[in-house]
This record gives sequence, C-alpha cells and structure tokens, in this order.
Amino acid sequence: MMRILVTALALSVVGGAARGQNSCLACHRQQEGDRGGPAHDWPTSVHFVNGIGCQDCHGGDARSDDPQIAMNPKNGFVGRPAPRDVPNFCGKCHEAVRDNYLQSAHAAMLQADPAAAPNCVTCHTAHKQQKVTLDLINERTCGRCHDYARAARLKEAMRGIENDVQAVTARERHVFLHGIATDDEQKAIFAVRNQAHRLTHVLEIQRILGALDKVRPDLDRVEARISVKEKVLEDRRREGNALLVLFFIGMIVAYATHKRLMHTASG
Amino acid sequence: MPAQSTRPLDDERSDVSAAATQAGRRSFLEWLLATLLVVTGATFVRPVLSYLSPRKSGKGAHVLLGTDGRSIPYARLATEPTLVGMGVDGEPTIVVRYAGETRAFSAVCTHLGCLVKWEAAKAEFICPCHNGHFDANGVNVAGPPPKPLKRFKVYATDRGEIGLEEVSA
Amino acid sequence: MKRLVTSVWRWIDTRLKLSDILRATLTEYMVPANLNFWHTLGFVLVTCFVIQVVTGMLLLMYYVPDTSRAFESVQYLSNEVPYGWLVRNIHAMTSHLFVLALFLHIASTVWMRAYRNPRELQWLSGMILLGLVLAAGLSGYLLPWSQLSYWATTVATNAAGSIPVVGDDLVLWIRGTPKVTQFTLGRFFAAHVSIIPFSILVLIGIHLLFLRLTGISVPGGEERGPVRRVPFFPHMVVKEIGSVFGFLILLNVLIFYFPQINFPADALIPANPLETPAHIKPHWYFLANYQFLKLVPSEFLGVILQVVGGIILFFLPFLDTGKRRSPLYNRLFYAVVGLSILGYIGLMVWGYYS
Repeated sequence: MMRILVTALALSVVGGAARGQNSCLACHRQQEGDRGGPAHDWPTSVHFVNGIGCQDCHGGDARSDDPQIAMNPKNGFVGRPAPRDVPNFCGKCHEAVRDNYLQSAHAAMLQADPAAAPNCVTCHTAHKQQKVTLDLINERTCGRCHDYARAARLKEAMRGIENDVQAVTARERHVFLHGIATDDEQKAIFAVRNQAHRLTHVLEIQRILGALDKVRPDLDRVEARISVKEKVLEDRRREGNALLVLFFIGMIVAYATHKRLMHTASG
Repeated sequence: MPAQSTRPLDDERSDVSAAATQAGRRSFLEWLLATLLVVTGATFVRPVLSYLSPRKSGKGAHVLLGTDGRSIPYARLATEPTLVGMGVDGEPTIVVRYAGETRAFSAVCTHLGCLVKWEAAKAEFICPCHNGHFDANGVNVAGPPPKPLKRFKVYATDRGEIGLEEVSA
Repeated sequence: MKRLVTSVWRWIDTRLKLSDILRATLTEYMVPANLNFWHTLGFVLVTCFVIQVVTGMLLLMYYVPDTSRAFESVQYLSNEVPYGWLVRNIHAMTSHLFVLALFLHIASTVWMRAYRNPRELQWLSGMILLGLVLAAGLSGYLLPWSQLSYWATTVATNAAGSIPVVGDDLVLWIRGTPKVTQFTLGRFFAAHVSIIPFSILVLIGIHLLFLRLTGISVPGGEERGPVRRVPFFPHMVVKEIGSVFGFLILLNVLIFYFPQINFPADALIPANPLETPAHIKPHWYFLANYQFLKLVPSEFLGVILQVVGGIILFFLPFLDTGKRRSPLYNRLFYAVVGLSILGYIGLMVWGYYS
C-alpha cells in the first residue's frame, strides 16, 4: 500500500508538472475534512491514472490560483452535485451506464428518496474509483441497504462472461508481451467488458442474461483472433528450436574438431 | 603486415603446420563443420529474402458481412439508415445514409474501442462508453476520442453486396 | 566448374598475391597452443558487430526516425514485414550479448594481465571500443520511441547532469534540446547508424592490427620460457567457431524463451512524455553505476568516484606495469580485482532488485 502511495505521489508530481500546475490539488490538499479528502484520495483513482483532471468533471479553471476564478460558475464550475444529480454528473462521460442505471430500481428510489438511495458514488466512491471487477458486488457494500441474496444472484449471472473476459485478456497479454501487436484485440476486449459491465446497472437478471448473449459473439471473435496469433508464436518457437539443435551440433563438432587438431599437432 | 610468426619462439612451427595442412587433407570432422557452417548461413537466407521481398498492395476490396458471416445486401440501405457489420479485416464497420450519400466508417471508437452509434437527428456518431462524438465525416468533435474514425470507400458490388475499400492515408 | 573456379582464383592470385596474405595471416600465423575459452571472445565480439551491422541495415529499410512515426514504423516492421520480428529481435538481443561478451573479454584480460607491456596500446583501443559499444546501446535504445525508450533515455541522460560544473551543459548537448525531443532522436539516430558503427569498425581494425604487431599474449606469461604453438587456422579458428555457435545458442534461447529481456511491457507502448511509468531503470549494464550513485550520499562524490574509477581502468597498463613485483603485490592485485568484479556484480543485482 505504502508503495502504491509513494508511486502515486511521484507520479502526481511529474504529472502535475507536465500537465501544467493543477491549482485544485494545490489548495485542497492543504485543507481538512470534506474539502481536503478528495485531493488525498484522487491519486489512487483510475481516473487520475488515465490522465483525467478535476476540471473534466467539476469544470472551472484548474490553471488559476485564485479561487474566485478557479471555482467560478461562469467558468463552468460545478461543486459537489446533489445526490439526485449524480447520475447525470457521471453520465457526462459514462452515458450508456447512466442509461442502464436509470432503468433500475436504484434509480427509481433515487427519485423517491434521494438522500437514502444508492447513486453512482455509493458503490464506486467519488474520488477513489478503481477499474471494476465483480468483487465490487459484495455483502459489505450491498448489505448496507438490503439483503445480499439477490445481489449475489446477479453476481453469479455475470460470472461466466467475466471469467471468460479475464481468460481472453490473459491470453492477449501473453501474446502482447511476446512482441505481437494486439491493439485491435485490446480495444475489442475493452468494448466487450464495457458492454457487459454496463448491463449490471439495470439489476434485472433475465434482461442481463438476454443481453449478454448478444455480447458473447464479440468475445468469441476476439478469442479466435488471439488464437491465430498464439499459433504464430508457436510456429516461431518451433523454428527456433530447430535452429537450436543445429547450433548445438555445430558447437559440439567445432570443439571436437579443435580437440582432434590439437591432438594431431602434438602427436 | 609483418607476420608475427617470425618470432623466435616458433621452433616447432614447421612440423606442426606441416602436419596439419599436409596435402590439404581435411578430416571428416572438418568437412562436417564446414557443412554445418554453410547450413547455418543458409537458414538465414529465406528470412532475409522474404524480409526484402516487395509488398503487394495490401489495400484489397472487401464486402460488409453480418454476424452470421454472410454479406449484407446493398439494397437494405434503402430501408435502413444504419448498418453495422464486419468490413476490411473483420473490422466492425458502420454504414450510414447521410445527405443523399452512403458513407462507411470503422465503428471502433478511437478512444478505447467501443462501437459507435449513428444519431441521425444530430448527424453524429456517438460512442456510448465515454460520450465521444464524431461528425458525419467521422471527425472527432467532442469528448475523449483522439483521432477521427477511419473512413472507407463504399459502393455496390456486381453481386449487390456492400463493397468496402480502404482509403490510403 | 571446379576448373573454372580454380583458374579464376589463379588469375586473381597472380595479380594480387592473395594466397601469400592468406597464408601469412591464417595458416602460418602461429598462436600459443594453450589459448583458452576466454581468447575466443574477441572473435565472438567481431561476430556480434557483423550481426549488428547486417541486421541494422535491414532495419533501416523500414525505420522512420520521426517521433510521430518511429514507434508505428517499428510496429509495422515487427508485425507486418515477414521475419521483421526476427531481425529486430536479433538486433536488440545481440546488443545485450555484445556488451556482455565485451565485459567478459575485458575481465579476462585484466585477470590474465594481458594488457601489460608491450600491449598497452591495444588495451587503450579496447577501452575506447567499450565506450563506443555502450554509446551504441544507449543511442539505439531511444530509436523505437517507446515508453521505455523515452524514459530510460531521459533518466540516463539526466545522470550526466550530476557531473560537476559542465553537467547541465553536457545534458543539453547530448539531448540537443532541454527535454528529449525530435532533436534528440535525430542526433541519436545519426550516432547510432553512422558515427558510432564507423568508429567501431575503424577501432576494431586498429585493435586487430595492434594484436598482430605485438603478438597475442601467452596465458601464464612469456617469462616461463618457450611455449608450443599451433597455426591460427584451422586450429584456433575452429575453437572460435565453437564459441560462436555457443553465442548463437544463447541468443536463440533468449529470443524465444525470454523475450521480455528485450521488450518489457513499457517497450511495447508508444512514448508518452506526460506519463512516467513506474520503476524506470537504466539498462542492466548501467545498473551498477546507477546503484552506486544512489548509495553515495553526495551526488558530487558519487560522480567523482566513478570518474576516478574509470580513469584507473583506462590507464591500468600504466599502473600495473610489467616490472617484477613481490608476491605480496601480486596477491593484493588479485584481491583488488576480484573484489572489484564481485562488487560490480553485487551493485548490479542490488540495483535490479531495489
């Protein structure tokens, strides 16, 4: 954990210098409580790692040191959104996820009782969000509001495609690390993963399973393309092994010839 | 170059070199070694030759295929404003009718690879993942996408399929 | 056919006297019979150089030295061009083995104290070759313009900044601009494909000329009296070919089974000047120097000590001269050399894991 923090801190210094000073962090890091917390959480966020800045969600002018300018609504500044506005706040970028969420029981409750209903940040956090895995659906998170059993069934419904996406990703990584470009496969896997994950927000198992059947062929296609590349790697290695045998024989014969010549010379 | 073999230590030189080179006879081992050297060199001939061989033009013609692997008829464009299928090298490709013209683009968002949708009302391609927008020419106009969508030339083939051709950059 | 070849050869030979030269340089060139494995490393190094020149020429056909296209051109060459991956892998992996073989060549020369009178000049030319080969590795690292290229070059050239007085100017001079940019790529490219290889070629010629002029050193020392000698060709040459095959085996195993030595994940994504990857380190052959700089509390002292170390190594033949010395001196010499080698390896390993 310490290591991650140190790396993140080092990155934030470099990142900050390179991207132009971020005045939001400079001020907020020195503040306490709700005003300071987000600034400290931020370097651990996947958004930060991917180069997203405060102003990309909150608007305002991150280059200005003057709070009157930096946080002026005229510069598009939006502070902390009200709970009911959170889905649209995140939906500025995560449009499809928002649309899925809005069809769910969670969203219906958000209209009825905004303070108690789960919005995006209830599960994903506001400033520490990580790349999502199925583990985000767990008893501690879901159990805060309701019985976990239904969420558990949802998780099981997602398990199949999730495992397969992970397996295909692992194979893609292997091919990639052996020097074969996989840009298209990486994008295709991302798209499949994204499509599958966005479905979870509807919270209706039958609908999810139906929609997953449409995602499946895309994943199968990526897998087929990766298989072709794996085959290429295998063929290369086979050729390499044949050469290896040749070199071994060459080495042995060369040293044997040397030995024989030396023997003749001394005889 | 003054040969160092004239150094005084080489008393045995004449005997030894005579024994080794006498009548140019080479032992079986030496022939084997020479053969192996030639074979080793020869194994690299094919890689180098194919490395140097000229490229044929890689920009071939393709047709738009549905997920069932069959070609999509061009006539369908008359009734459907948007068609998505697989084009050049299996690339997901979106074909739209716009301003009386048929246009084809890679459907893969240049940001992270989700597939874009055509919003006829706005005349924009929109990526659902991070809300990237591309105009009717495929140019990225809003959101995170760093590059325009790749465009393809599109035409009706003799067999009534949707023909696609990569446009050289 | 055979007659034709023979008569063509004769025709040339009567004019150029090639057979005399061949005889003098090969079959009548006598070398000590007890030359060991370490003496074959010179031949392996020449092989490395030839491999690098040939594969380098092939790579040049597809490589584009432009920051916006370099990475793409390398990707194209290793994914689309037939056997491009092989050419690139051989070039990259040989660069590592080139340095490794050179280190062993130097270490064995020190251990056998072969640099002493009359071979001081040969040692000096070898030291310059060492510098050139390291410079070739450093400059070649940047060319693919990957994350690894960009940041390893940034870190490595930054290190020059810690040299007192001239440091900052030196960094600017190496990079051509304050940051690593197209100008850096331009000069590194020029150095890598023309300045350095031509210099290496010339120095290898000089190095070999000195070898023939002074004669090869006798293992165990000449003072013990006359040694048995054998012809360079075929006796010694076949042994050297054996070592070359050994080198090819190592190259093959590394390329096919340990590709990450060449291309860790950061080498497979394009350079991004706004995002430093975690754990950026110099190449393995600079790790010891890097770790040493980190250990010495004062950067100034760390650099000075390394410069002094380099000078001692460079002028070693004039410090450990051939005059007779006491057994105590000899024992001390081997203790210092042995500890230095162990210390160097230790620092390298430490730097790798820290």
